[in-house]
Amino acid sequence: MSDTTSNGRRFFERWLFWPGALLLVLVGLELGYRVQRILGGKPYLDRQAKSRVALLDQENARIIHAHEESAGRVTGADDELLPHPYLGLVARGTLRTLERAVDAMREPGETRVDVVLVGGGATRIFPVARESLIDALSKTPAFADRKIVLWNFAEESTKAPQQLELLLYLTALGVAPDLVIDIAGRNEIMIGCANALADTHPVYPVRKKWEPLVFGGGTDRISIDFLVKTWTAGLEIDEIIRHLNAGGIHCALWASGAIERVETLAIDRDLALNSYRRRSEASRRQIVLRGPSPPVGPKLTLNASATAWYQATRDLGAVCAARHIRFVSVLEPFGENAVPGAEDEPDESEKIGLPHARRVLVTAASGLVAAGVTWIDAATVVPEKATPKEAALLLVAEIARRLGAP
Amino acid sequence: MSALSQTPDGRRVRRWPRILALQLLVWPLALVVGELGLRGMLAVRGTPYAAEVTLETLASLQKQNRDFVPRPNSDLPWNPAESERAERVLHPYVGFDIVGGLELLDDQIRQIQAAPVGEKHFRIALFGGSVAQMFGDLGVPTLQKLLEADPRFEGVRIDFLSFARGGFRQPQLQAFLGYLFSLGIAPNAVICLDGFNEVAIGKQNAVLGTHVSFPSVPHWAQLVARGTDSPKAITVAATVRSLQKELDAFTAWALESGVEKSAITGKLALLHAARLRRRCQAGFIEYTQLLRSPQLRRALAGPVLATDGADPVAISVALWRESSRNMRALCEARGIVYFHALQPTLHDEGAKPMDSHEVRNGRIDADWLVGVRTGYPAMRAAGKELAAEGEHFFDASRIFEHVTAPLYDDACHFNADGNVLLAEALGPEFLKALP
Repeated sequence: MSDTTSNGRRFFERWLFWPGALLLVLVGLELGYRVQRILGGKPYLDRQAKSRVALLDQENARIIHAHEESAGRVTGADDELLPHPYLGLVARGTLRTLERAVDAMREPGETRVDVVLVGGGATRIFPVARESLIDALSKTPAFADRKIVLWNFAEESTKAPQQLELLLYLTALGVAPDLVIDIAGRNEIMIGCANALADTHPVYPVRKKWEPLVFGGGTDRISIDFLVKTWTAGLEIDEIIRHLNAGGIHCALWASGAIERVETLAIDRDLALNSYRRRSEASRRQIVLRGPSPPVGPKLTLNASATAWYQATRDLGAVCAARHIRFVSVLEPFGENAVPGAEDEPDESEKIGLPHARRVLVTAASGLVAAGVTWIDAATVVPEKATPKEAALLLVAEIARRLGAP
Repeated sequence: MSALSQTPDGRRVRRWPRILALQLLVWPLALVVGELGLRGMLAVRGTPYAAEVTLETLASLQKQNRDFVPRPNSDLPWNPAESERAERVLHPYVGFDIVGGLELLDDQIRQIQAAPVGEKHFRIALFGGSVAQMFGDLGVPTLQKLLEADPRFEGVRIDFLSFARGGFRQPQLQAFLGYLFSLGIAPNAVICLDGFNEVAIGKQNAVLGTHVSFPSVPHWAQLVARGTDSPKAITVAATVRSLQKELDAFTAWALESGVEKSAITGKLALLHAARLRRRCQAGFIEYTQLLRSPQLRRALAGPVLATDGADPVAISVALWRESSRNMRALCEARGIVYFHALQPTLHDEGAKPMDSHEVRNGRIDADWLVGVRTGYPAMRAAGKELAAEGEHFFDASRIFEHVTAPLYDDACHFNADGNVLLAEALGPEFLKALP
């Protein structure tokens, strides 16, 4: 028995005493530190630390790319944006549509009706009414007994004059569709106003997508250094947060220092990122992004946005008329006439032009009618509280009716 | 193996001072022998060691190390800007513009908005490439006088607005017109003076792998070659920058510390610096390759169309014709007079008897020559077609055919005399187009 006790004691003294003592010292230090924090009025709470770390992690994950708008777009994916000399920017998928459309339309097509859909509104209306549109168009006398082929060039943020530039380009390539349907108005006003607020002319493409294409990535050494600094800080933050989440967060002694380090790195990262972005936009480069001097004030901004829509739509009508292409222009329902659930909630800068948008556009549209454009105000066709599908079907029926369907 | 050894008389003495002394003697001697041996070997090989060369090489590696400006499209030609105002920048609707052009447009908009009410204006917008741009400076004064002499312009102020830019060609001109109308700019007449860039650059674009309908590659390609902010590219950039900093620090130390005085240390320093430089270059190439991604090449190449492989010049002519139809449609719907002139060019056969100065200065790129030689006859034929449809088309390609005096400064631009002659030929035709 005494031998066993003595063996146990020897084992304890040899193998457990010192590690145990060290552990006790560490626990003592940890507790002492926590008490000191409490006495200092800044208690360390695991739960609080966890939520802080989660927030820092979230912020860090967001800054994967120097420009948020380019994040998440996979190279080669249909929604990847590419610069285009005449359209400003274009999704890769739209570029593919353009190639297929031009090749198809160059083939003799007596038995085919090529319909080109343009305008941001088409992305909100036609996904749910594609088949109905084909069906309705095939019943119009002009297109009867022919195969309806829809070429959808609409992108979420397309706005005038991009539709016009697209048609000019298509026709310059030697093709002419049978019908062009432009559903627009919302982006022209809302993006136009948001552009102007961000010091970009309303007639330019949506700034937040145009900007990364103009300035994406650093091409000089200082810009690259800023990017690298941002990136390196982000990686170090990732590493520390990984350790914190692996359990380190429960050791106040280390975790509080680590969180402070993450916060410092986050500040360094943001400073470097801001410097990079400022550098990108510096001096005369700004003029590339901005275009002509944007109008100042809500009234002038709204007028410039509406002018872009009216003039470009009128020109679309002129080119179509000269080339014997049927053309329908639709003012999509938006703002107070928006179809519930059909569009995302606009941000504050986009809302600036909303109060008078419809009045201004409807007034301008009288010029379109005078110029012979087939023009539809969707708000007069779609009743309040219609679902997106009902709205799309009503609009399709109206387009077909205006094209002569029984 | 004790540190102590025994002498024959049995005394124990310490060995390490002797070992140390031997080391102190042998190593420096070995270094000197090595240094002399290396120098001798290098001299025998015909490349004797020179400290100055080592210094120069280190300094050069340090200097080269400062470059980190990737040009992903460096394999493509690039027309550098001649001044800050001529610096080319991206434009959403016409591909590119020059800084001076963007500033000019701002001024033109202000000028139109500030025009006094009641004053009678006749605004003529001029479109085209560099020939039209020069015509705006050198030919327009003559044209203006011709127009002012016409009774229809009595009491009317004639303003010319130049929207011509070096390198511009169809379909950029039609895109520019559509963009201007969207801005609310509406002139009374449009003069489109074009032809050369359409066929010459069209052919060159095709050879360089870009669609004929896209802007001139030498003017546009480098603008599309932006940097990248993808994580992979930034990681590569970070590695390269860290290696560059290491090389910077090492060469700075080596240049200060006098390593070049010894052939051994000098050569070692050069080897290390060169190895760092090679790694930097490899990283730089990888970074540039990432920028030269299929994404950017896709953006640069334009559409891949099934029927466009055949004859780029024929496609250029078709684009020119269709774009002109569009410009006319845009103008006529607004009651704007559209006047289209095919500009003369030196290498269009029969366009002008070349004098020795023009033969010497008018040398032309082979692709451009093919474009002009085959494109101009086709454009003349297409122009007749346009005129038959009712377009005010003026074939100015033969206005110098009997002028023997030198007019051309290069393959396509003509001097002040040539511009006056063009204005004198164009004026009466333009007046015929006016109501």
